[in-house]
Amino acid sequence: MIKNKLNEIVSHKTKLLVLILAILSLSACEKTESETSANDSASTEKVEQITSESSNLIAEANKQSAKAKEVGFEWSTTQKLIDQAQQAEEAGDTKLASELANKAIKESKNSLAQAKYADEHWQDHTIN
Amino acid sequence: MNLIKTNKFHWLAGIATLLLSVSVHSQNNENKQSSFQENVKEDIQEFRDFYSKKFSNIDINEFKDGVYAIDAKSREQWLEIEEFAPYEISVEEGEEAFGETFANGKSYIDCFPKVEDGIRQNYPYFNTETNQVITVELAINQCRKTNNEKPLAFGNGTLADISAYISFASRGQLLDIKLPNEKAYDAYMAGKKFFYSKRGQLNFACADCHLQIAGSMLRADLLSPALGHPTAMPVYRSNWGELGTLHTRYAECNKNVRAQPLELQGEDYRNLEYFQTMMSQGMEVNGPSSRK
Repeated sequence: MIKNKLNEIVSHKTKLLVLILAILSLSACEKTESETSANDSASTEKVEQITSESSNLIAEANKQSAKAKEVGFEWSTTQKLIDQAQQAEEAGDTKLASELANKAIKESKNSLAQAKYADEHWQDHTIN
Repeated sequence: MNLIKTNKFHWLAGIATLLLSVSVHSQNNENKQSSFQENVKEDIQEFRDFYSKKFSNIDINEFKDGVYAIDAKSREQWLEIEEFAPYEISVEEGEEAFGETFANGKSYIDCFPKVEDGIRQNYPYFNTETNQVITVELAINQCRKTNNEKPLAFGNGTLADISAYISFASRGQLLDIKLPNEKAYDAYMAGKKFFYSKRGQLNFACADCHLQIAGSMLRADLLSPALGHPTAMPVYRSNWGELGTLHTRYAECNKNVRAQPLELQGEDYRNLEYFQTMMSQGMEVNGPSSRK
């Protein structure tokens, strides 16, 4: 009789334990899911940010290159860099796209400096 | 009576002042004109003196042969090539194209009536009505436009062939380039500025290769002097495998220093041609020619 009661109590406790464990595990699971979802969202945001950064750099490279072209001092290497940056971005390699766009910006700024120098100093190089 | 005298005096004084101011103005214009004419004359002399000093054993008129004036071995090979000149077909095709009758019944001869006497020696010239430099190639297309024909592509092909025929008919004539007014001088100065301005990723000016270090080797090529370049145009270049104009060569030079080539027959290249041809003033037209 006592044994039966004891068994009943143990079985009740076991059931309770199992129930508690199940609740805990569900809660943990829920927490992990929400964490994953938060992580995913942050990661997407970061990718978008990088993509937007490389797009901005490509736009800036185009702008600077147009300025160099306007004064007739564009380098033949610059447009190739911009095209390659565009391709890298389309392929999802935003890091490479940014690097190439930055190079193109630097080239255009150098060619604009070259135009300015020519404007101010071309006569220093004449024989007359 | 006195009033009439005073009026007369005022009239006379007015007319005298007017005449004086017109005379001063015209004197100023003449001074200005002679001043830029003098500047250009000095430029031509100094340009020639530079090459005379650099290549003291070469007669100044020999520079019309470009790099073959300064390198005996290359000259020998070139003279052999000239025996069966690779541009001959272009001259024939150019002559044929020149004889073409436009849809309106007119032809090139209506635009260039003196072609057989030689006209290349007067190109480029400065058009004082439109205030721009006119090259032979631009004039060919202007002729087509006037006669409602589609323009030809600049650089090579039929337009270069017609240009070759015009040069061939002008062989032996001496370059006689005019500088009619101050605006022409501005165009000349723009061309001069282009010639001396460094461009491209390699930071080279036309003057660097074809003036300062002319006669030096650049990789496997001997750099030609800029003096005389325009006399030999258009040119058949072996590495092109066809005939091209001076502007095609400018574009190639720009590419070589990693600068984006400019528009063929655009203002920049036309002004450069004006300056460069002016520097070769008085030299003999010997185009078309062949080069490596």
